[in-house]
Amino acid sequence: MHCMEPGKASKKPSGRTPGRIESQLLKGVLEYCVLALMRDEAKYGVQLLHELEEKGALATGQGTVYPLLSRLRREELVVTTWRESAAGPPRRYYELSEAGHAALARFAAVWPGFRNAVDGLVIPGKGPGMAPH
Amino acid sequence: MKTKTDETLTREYLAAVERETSMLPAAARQELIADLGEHIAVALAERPGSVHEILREMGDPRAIAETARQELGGIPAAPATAPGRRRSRVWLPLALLVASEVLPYLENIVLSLLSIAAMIAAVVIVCRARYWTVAQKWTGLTLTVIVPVLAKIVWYVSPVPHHGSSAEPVVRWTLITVVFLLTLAGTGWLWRNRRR
Repeated sequence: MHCMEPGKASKKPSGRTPGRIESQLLKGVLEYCVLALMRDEAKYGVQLLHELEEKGALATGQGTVYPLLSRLRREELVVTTWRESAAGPPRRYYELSEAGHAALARFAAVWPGFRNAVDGLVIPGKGPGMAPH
Repeated sequence: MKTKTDETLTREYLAAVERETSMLPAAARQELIADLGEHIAVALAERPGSVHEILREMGDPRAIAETARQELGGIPAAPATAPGRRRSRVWLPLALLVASEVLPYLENIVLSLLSIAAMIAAVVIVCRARYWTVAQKWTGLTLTVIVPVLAKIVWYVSPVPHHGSSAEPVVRWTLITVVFLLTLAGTGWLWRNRRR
């Protein structure tokens, strides 16, 4: 169903060293980005990482996502099933559990307020009583 | 020159991850290695011939290890140890120092030799350890090793109340007690001043 186009990863402009700010920020939200990617359908690891990278939601090597996936399994926010594949080894598919859906919904409810609060603070002219210089 | 096969490169990469994750519980470590191995196998099936690219995308084994440590929560970091150099426990050299002070009095040649070995080992470990500054190491080792050893040398070479004289037991036990207290003071001091 999905096919990975080789060479797609080379579109990443800045290579392997994303900024410190990006990695700091992503640390807190990566978990929910991963959960969001499997909201509608089950996906396997390589596929999840590929999409994360495509969406610019990965500031580190792909390998660092596996400890996270492992925790999501442990906390039963996701369930996994093995499926045979036409090419290569069987894939482990990740799917949101009920608890995973609930966690994602909670995050989605909190996020806009959080985003607005940060916008209000850091974007010049947006904050209450903060005149731009 | 023969180029390395996909399998060799993958194995080397996973071995590097394994080395970097030595602080993780064995089960977590095995799970991580299995996950990464599966990822690489699937990616290779989808993009044959791009093993270098796939491994590069996986990223630095150290970064993966660090993330895994954080995900497991609460496992203390092993900060900035030089590669291949294990961090010894802080109590180990201190226990060795006390042991090297006590063992010779058990009047057994094997134990006496062991005590010398223990003392040498303790000195080496303390010198290499990151728990103390150089000045602290000097203070600790002066109290626990240098003064006791000098005291014993003086005892054995000095002509004054020596073997057989009536004053000998008193002087001998005073010396033993003082040296033992010094060792305890030195190890206690090192323990209190260890860097956490």
